[in-house]
Amino acid sequence: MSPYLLVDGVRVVPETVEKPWLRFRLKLPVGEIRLISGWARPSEIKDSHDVRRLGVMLRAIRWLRDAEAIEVPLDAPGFIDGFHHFERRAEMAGPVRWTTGNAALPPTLFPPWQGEVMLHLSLGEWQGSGLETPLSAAAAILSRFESLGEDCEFGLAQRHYLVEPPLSLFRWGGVRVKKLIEALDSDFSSLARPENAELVWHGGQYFLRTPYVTIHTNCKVEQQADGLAEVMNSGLATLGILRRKLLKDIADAMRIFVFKSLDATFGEGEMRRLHAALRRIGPVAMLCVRVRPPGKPIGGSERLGDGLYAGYVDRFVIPDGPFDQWLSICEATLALHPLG
Amino acid sequence: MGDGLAAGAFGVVAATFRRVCQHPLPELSPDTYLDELPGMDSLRVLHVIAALEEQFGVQIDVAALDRLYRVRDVLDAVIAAEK
Repeated sequence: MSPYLLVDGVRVVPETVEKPWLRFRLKLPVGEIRLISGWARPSEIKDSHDVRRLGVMLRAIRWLRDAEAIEVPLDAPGFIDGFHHFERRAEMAGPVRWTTGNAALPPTLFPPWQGEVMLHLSLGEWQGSGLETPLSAAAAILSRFESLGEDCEFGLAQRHYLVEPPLSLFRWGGVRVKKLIEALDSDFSSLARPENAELVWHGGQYFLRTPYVTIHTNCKVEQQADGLAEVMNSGLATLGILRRKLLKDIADAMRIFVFKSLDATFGEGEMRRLHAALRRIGPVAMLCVRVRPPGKPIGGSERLGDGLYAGYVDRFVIPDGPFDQWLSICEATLALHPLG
Repeated sequence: MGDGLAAGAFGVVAATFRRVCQHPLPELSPDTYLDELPGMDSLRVLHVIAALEEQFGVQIDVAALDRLYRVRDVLDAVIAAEK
């Protein structure tokens, strides 16, 4: 199937196709632009362990009007609906993104133009996917770690280097260190209790907020009492599963847990308390990351004790990076870690 | 678990996907990939698992959560938990 666009539900075919470019004539403003194509799973058509549904490999997006041109960065975080994470491989020029075969171009990246414009899409030939090749050295390093918070910066760093670890309680969020220690000390026993949770309607959907973490409920319709009770029960049960998963991950100690703190007072004492709280559950190693105090190396890591490491950045870079200091810290930590 | 019981469990799993997804779903088979289901994401899969745990009165081995690609994988996790 030749790729085409669905623009506000109306099919639009390319005006010209001149490999690798597909050129579409559109009239702005529009609400939604979806890129539709066939798709396949590499694991089903060749010797590959990539089970992802892959549509087309998008290599460039360019808007044109008269003499104006806007190049859309493919590593922008707005590519969510129908897109895989971006891939950057040595043999390719710049980042690329696979679609799933039905992908929405991020409306936030549409140009603020009115009237007739051209949209040029550069689609790559099949060159394999990022998951077909062995993990890059960077991905191999970052996949050895799991985030505990206090926010999603490390999760974004992992995604930047094409590491997609399994969903975990704190991959996309987390709490301040005192709350985290309190939760670990009690095996997160109060996490999934209804008396500690509340449903919050925000941005057109319900979130389940607890003292330790807030999660999406995927409920996007305002509910009456019965419906709210059902959403609450489902959210609490889901949190219960994530709690079991986290406790097992700590007990298994297969990865090094990472905690970052924006708090300039986050010092060695709290790092040790946090590590001790983890160690009560399992023999796990911990990397604490903070903004560099005087005398500490940027992008470096130091051993504070058995399985406890501290790393330093010159600034936090959520959400856009660059994440090279994270990579450097993780690499230095593995070099210090006995099993690294 | 016998074939009849597995088929029964599949019916429950499929019905749970339909209820949790809140989107019209295509006909499900054990080989349906989860990422082909409209509106499905990793958190919603957990909502399905949570609902199944309640319905079957079991706790699924959380190690299985790292390997859920198809409806069959969810079914297998439920069946393994029931043993």
